Amino acid sequence: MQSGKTLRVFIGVVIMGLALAGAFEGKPDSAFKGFLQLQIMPARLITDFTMVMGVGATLMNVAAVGALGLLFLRLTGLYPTGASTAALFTMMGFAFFGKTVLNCLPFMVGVALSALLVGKKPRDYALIAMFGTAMGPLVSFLAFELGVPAAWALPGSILIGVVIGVIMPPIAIEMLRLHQGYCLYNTGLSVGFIGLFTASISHAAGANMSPLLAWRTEPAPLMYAIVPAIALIALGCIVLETRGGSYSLQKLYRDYRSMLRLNGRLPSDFCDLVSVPAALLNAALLSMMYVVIMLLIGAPFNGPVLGGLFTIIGFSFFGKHARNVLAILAGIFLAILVFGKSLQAPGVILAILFSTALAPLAGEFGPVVGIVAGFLHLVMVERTGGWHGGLDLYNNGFAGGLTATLIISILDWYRSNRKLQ
Amino acid sequence: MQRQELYIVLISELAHFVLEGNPRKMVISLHQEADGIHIAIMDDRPRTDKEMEEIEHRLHMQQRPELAAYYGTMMGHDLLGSARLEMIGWQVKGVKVERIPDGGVMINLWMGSEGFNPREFSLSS
Repeated sequence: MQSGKTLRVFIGVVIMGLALAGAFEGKPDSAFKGFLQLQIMPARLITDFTMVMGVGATLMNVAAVGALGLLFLRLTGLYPTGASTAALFTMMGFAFFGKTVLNCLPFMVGVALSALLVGKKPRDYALIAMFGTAMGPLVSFLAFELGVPAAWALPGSILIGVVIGVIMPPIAIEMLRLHQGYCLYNTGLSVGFIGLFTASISHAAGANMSPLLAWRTEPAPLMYAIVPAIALIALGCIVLETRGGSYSLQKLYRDYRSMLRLNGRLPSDFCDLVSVPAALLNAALLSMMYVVIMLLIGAPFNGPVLGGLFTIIGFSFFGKHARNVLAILAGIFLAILVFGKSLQAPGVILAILFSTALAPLAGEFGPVVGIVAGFLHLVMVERTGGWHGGLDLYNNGFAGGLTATLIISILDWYRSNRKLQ
Repeated sequence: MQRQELYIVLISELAHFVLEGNPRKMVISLHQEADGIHIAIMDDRPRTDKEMEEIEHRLHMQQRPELAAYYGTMMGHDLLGSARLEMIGWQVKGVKVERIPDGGVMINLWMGSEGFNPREFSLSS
């Protein structure tokens, strides 16, 4: 099977599966009603949609946001690749706890307008538009949290979302230069930066920006099955790819090994640099590795945890692999030990999952830098959420971007100033 | 991005790649026309078949506007890690990688507007 087609099949089956699982988790009509309710709910960090509206409604929301991303790719004339798969799974992952179709759309439209404004095509900024939906909670916050009459609040919040979408590309591009591609969640840094201003303005206007915490601890069997099922779909797609005989298991093994040698720095599209089957294998292995870690530490398989696992699946096509995440993980656990953090704390669990944004630092500069990065990330991420009032869903991307910028500044200075070799 | 700025970052990334190999010689040539350019870079470092294959693979990425307009802006700016030829590969219209008699490699790149046909435009012609 053609590799591009395999990726489309993989994404299509996942989205369809999530929609069906959502519809039949309880009663389809109540799941659909819950899905509609989610569109008009506050969505700032941390709002676990599975807690506030149930698993069925949340899965429908995840599938709908995934379909929106896929439709956006189609409208802009793009097809699924490693980078767009990362963007799609990130969108879907955060639809477990913050993104809705309604709060994603204004930013996507704004970024597309931004492209047209400078004589480019919307496809040129498609990744910024998709990742940029991290700012979704701002629209929900302005429309449904402030208590302004809906006739004003909804159009106003959508307009503000579009305006922020317009200014997002220049900020995202500039932020890349700070960490030089060593933080995979660059949009998290960009949106966090914008969030500092929007939260400050909101706070100055008297809005209540105190953090939200809806974190489900009650187990839901279906939530445990989702990531293993996606891993199985990925393996099934590899079987489809090898069926014709044009792609052998030996080649898969060789490709996967060569992928492990890549540092993962942005933009490392594993589908282009190695192969689609190797990237699918990476997604299955890495996601299951993190499922096991979550089970070992006793994390609840709730919306945010599933969001983290979905993001890992996505970035298994675009920068993360089992080799470059290990040192970061070690750094996080070292910080947990040193500062006596609880492994059950939501912030710590999310940091374990999302700190993998710093994987390229370990991939390029080795385990010591990776451990330092993971250690610093955990202490940073617990502070940064308050700075933007939970408006940046990629809070770990914001903290990771700042951590990567610090480390890169020092390494760059050292490299540029030491005696010429 | 202004055209001149694009040439500067493109040449910078290419030079970054060649200099990583620590050659004794490096030559860069730029031939500019109204709607396109041809850049050639040569060095004297012998390369294995596998290395040549990898250069070809990285430069022969198909055009990826969504990556070029976003991540491609890092091209030629960040010199801390290794050079990333794929960022060049997304933006060019034609690529030719060949060994030269001195033992090194010559990388030819063509870039241009929508109507630009690299086949009609080369150093030799």
